[in-house]
Amino acid sequence: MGAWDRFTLVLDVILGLVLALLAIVIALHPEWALHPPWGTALVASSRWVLGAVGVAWGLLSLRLLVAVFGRGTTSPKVHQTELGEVRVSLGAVENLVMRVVLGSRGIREARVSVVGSDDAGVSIRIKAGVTSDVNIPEVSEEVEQAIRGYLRTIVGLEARQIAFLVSDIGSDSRRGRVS
Amino acid sequence: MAEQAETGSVHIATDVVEIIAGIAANEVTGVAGMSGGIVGGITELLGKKNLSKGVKVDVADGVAVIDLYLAIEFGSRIPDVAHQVQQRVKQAVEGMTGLNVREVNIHVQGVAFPSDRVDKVATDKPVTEELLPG
Repeated sequence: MGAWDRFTLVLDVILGLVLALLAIVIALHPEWALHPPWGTALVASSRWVLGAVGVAWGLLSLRLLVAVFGRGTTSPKVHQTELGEVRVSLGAVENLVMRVVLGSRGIREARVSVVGSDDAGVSIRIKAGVTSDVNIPEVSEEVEQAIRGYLRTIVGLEARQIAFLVSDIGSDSRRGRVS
Repeated sequence: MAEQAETGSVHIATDVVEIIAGIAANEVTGVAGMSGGIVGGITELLGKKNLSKGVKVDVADGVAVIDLYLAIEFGSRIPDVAHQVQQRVKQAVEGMTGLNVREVNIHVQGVAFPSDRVDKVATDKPVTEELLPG
């Protein structure tokens, strides 16, 4: 979800909160639904504004639906053959990188997001929790190398930039991890 | 698509081309399944097997452009699998319909991990601990 989609989401939530507040007020004072204290004249005069707000809200909501469920066109092109092009969705890239990160030595948990992409490659941000018995610079270097190699070999994509943020250090190594 | 023959015309619906392409793509090793979006998912929830799920075909003047939305099995090299899919789909569609396939575009929508069923599409699914290598 990009910056514009986040902005849209914030607007949508604010409008939702206003509507929720209105519903609570009407629940407490049901008579206000028919006879609002500010008078029916105000409602009548601002009905076009209300209509415009409704249309804007509807469009914002549709935009969010497309952002969440749409196939999107920003998937990076990883290969071009004489038969056509090959693109990989950012969600699939995130899942693959997550797999690599969680399979690395000293990583307890991780969140992966692709923060930028084009046909030349992707930029990745990793927020990870590590075990307390590892050297963080070494682990981050290993993870970075593993991701670059994996993306190049399996996906055919270059990792332009990898940001590795250690958000937590703990002692409980995950089950089954070979350290 | 309509083809004029001496004894009449032959019409091939776009849906048929989509089904041929979908079946051909699923036969390639490394393809875990097709990703059909909301409509395809709802159709399958209703119990109807959707063979054209994840396939979009545009036909004009006997030339077809095919877009395939699919999931790849974890561990498979995506460019290799995609190239095989392109070849297989082009061969199948051209062989069965006589259409000229100009492009077969592959959109990898997800990756299926080993514990997933073969026909299940794991798009954007979070990785769970039991899926990790030991």
